Amino acid sequence: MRRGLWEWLALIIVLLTVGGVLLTPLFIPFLDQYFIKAEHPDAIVVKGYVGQHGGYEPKIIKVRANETVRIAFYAMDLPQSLSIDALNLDTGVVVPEVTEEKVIEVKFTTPGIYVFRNTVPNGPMSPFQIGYIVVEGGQK
Amino acid sequence: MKPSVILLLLILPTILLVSSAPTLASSIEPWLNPRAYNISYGDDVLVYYVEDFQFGFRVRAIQKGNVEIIYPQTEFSARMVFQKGDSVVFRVKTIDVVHGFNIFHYLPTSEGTNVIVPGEVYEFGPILMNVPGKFKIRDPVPCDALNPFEYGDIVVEPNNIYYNLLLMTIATAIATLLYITLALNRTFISRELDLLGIPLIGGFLRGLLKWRGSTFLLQLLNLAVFLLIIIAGLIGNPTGGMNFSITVVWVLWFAAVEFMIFFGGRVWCTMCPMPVLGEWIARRRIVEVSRKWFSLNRKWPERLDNMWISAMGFLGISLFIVWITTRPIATAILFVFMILIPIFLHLYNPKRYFCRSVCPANYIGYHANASILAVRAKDRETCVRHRTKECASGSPTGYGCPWELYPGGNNDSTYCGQCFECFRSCPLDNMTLKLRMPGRDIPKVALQKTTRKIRYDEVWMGFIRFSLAIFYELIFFGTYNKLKDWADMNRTWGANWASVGVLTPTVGDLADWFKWAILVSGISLILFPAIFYTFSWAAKKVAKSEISTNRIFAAFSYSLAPYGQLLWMSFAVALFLVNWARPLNSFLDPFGFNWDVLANVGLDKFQWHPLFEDQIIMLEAPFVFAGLFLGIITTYNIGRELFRDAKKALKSTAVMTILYVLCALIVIWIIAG
Repeated sequence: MRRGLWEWLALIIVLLTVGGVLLTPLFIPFLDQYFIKAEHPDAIVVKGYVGQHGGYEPKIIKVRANETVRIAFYAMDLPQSLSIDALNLDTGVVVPEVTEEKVIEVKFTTPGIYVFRNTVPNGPMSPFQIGYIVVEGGQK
Repeated sequence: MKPSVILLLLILPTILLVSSAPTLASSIEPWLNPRAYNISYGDDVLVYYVEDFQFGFRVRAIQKGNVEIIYPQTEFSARMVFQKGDSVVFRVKTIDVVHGFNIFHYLPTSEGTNVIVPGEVYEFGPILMNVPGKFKIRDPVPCDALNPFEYGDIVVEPNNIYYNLLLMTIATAIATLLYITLALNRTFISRELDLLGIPLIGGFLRGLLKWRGSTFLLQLLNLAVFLLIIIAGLIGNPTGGMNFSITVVWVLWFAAVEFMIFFGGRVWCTMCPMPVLGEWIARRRIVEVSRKWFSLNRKWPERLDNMWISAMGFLGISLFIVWITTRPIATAILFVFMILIPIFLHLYNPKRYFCRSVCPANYIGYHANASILAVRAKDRETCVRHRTKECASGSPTGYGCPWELYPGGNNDSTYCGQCFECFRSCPLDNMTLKLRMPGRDIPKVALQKTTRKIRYDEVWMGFIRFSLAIFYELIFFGTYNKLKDWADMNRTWGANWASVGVLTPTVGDLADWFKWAILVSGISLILFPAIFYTFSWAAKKVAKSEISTNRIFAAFSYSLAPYGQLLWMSFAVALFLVNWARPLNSFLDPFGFNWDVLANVGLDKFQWHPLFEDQIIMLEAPFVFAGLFLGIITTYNIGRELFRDAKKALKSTAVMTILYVLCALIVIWIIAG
């Protein structure tokens, strides 16, 4: 028995639907750009994940010495913070879906590698939530 | 004496002395001692020192004015009782992660308020407890995986609402019994209406149901959602409250399906995506009717053609409910199996045996007879006279019943999946939808299923569903933190595929889970059925009946279909009213990646706050009363079919009513006491 027009149409719709949904993960980086509101276009966006992605995304930020940069910090899963020991700077606790993202301004004078970390105790994974700021020397 | 024994004798008393010595919390935890902070309260002010942790709240100390500090004996007290007019200060600190502290009615309940950060002590109040009643303490911060279970209770005495609800429970039972007594020979809840016979609407509905595309479109939509649930569970945010897989399934679907059962029978099965891939493969068609199967077409084993697997599956899922409803990965894995199993089963036999005998959501079928909607023949005589019976054998326009029923003669909704194939295959247009009083067919079904061979599978499905309705209320909204800890295997963290390792339990955690599993299984499989059996035996004695206790026990158990269903609806009301914002936000941000897919059209995410926070109890209670009413009426109707004697039915119903009232009182105690 041959398939009729409606059957072919249904088959195409099913394949497109199933394929479309299953392929969604491939498009997440693009969807991220589209759906996350770009409220801080001049800032480096850092997303904090306690349970995955190695703690912060991006995990390494590169800046130049004596350059003032803004970091917009978003908590993605649990309440957390971004704290830079060397500058004694801390965003304070950012609660996902509850508090707004926090923006801090940083300026490093000495080239080197600096650590940023989560200072909010939020479970066994929080000590591993560490990121790095690589400060490169000289002017552009 | 050996030196080792002497050493042991010396050490042992020391250990015992040290471990049994009372320790003043204030001596080790300065936050419990206000004098250390030089804080002064009035003499009439009660100060509650509350610890916030993953499963709720516990009171560590109570101080009156500056004088008296009482250290509560119970370690897990998440219940605080005040008198109307008390002035209370809450000093709160978290002992694990960031939490929140909100009290329905007394403290603001919107997100962003009262965030409790580790290392700090927060003070709320003095709050004048001027409105009596029971109020939930809730953490609105998505603090960790177990946030959905984080509740505490505040009771302001005199809790007259609670006492009135208790009285109303008893009054409902007495009034129902009186109602039956005054109209002893009347058959209750027997009316029905042919929904498709209504002018205009009926014709439109019939056309819609006969169109094969209607089921397909519903299934396709749900299939897309289903696949999204799996993907979100695998790669999305590991915090359950921010992941589509948890919020949409365990808040929206879980609550909605309970109402669907009552108002639409197995209408969820009409659109369920779980078996469709298997069915489409087996049929080799999606919307058209085919005559060849891609299936071995083997006979389904008779011993499996019952509800045992479904009942045990539902119980099994309930034993892991704390994990499944909080860890996206657990839900994703469950759903992957829920799509693979029907595919394999359809390759074995193309009919809906997965839905009839395996699906854990088959409880929908158990309760379907309590629904106000049913698929029935318009005129039974027409079906009797009609020889070809395409509803069962199929026609070019529709399949023979995929659920292996003869729809023309069916009076039992348990295994009617409402796929509407009989509407499409019947050349006489004799199938229809009937709107009826809830539980109308239960007496006949109960009699039919206990006459030759008792359907213990369905009987036990009833016990599991009924006892778990009460248990879920206790676990989701209760304050019994230890139970929740056991059920959770003492794990704290959410997990997706990348972080699934954090869920690995230790041997001690597994031992705790076994305590929980034995408790829940014991109550639903043994204790409650045993109590029900005892009441059935007493009912038999009081009615002076010759019918075996087993048969009375099994037949009366079908009255739990409407009663249990209404209890689940009561649970669903609270579940949705408290958590409504989470699933709606998940549609805007399915993976919990901080998206807002409708931001461009100006729609922001919803702020969490409970709906009708002061009225939740009063919205839940009517479902309990309605369930009690239907339970009693259905028992009486079953009794009349069983004993063929109205007086015997009434006497036995009176005995069973005692049990039903006790169950209702327990539920009222959980929600309002």
